[in-house]
Amino acid sequence: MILVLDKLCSLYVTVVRATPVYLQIFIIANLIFTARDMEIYAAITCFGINSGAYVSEIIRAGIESIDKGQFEAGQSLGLSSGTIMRSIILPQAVKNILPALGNEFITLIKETAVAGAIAVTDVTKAAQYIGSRTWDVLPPLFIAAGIYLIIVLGLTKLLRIFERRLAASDHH
Amino acid sequence: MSCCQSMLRKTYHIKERKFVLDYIINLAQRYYNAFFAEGRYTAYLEGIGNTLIISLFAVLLGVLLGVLVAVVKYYRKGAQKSGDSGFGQAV
Repeated sequence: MILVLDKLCSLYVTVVRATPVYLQIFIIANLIFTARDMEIYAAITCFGINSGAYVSEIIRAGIESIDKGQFEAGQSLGLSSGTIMRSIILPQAVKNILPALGNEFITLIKETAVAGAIAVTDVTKAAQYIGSRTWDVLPPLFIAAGIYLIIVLGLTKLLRIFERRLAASDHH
Repeated sequence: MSCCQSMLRKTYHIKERKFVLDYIINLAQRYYNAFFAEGRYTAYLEGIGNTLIISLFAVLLGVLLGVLVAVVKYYRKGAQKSGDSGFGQAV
């Protein structure tokens, strides 16, 4: 049972990581959410599935980054492996996982520019639309670039504050 | 001769300056057209909203799927070892 699930998960991660998002979003949009006015759900599904593959690797790496000795220390105290996982491994792993997860979120914001391909009016699509209305393509594109820059810089700053608060309990 | 040259340079300079000034004014007009004219900024706002909605829900879905896959991998690793000790033991 677990073997089959593991094979499925491996297949999912392999397929998602080996195909371009641009193609995936067309497939999702034409496979599941084919109705008009549903494009945004298609985009959410596509990017969710896409980032799931990367997040799984981040989480796996985060759990594996915790030293084996921590597990053994828990065992020597007579704790069950569930308790060890919940109260020793995961709190430390989360510290490694969260910053990487924030980076994933930032990457995702930039990646959503692809959603314009299925006619979702995101920032890039809005800029293209305005460019086609004013017959002057370049200014809207620069404005869109500025908007992305502001969003990402703001998020980076937020993440840095968050990271500092997580590091506050470190003492080495 | 030299007087002529300097005059030429001067006119050229003025022309160039006018060109730059025109370009800047033109640029301001272009950006105004691209952002404020006819309430176009609402399109950008809609775009920002959609971008943020998509990335927020996508990240939630992504974390959900990622945790699921990571848990399966973790269990699989524990089943593989099947020893009485080791970090990757089944929970």
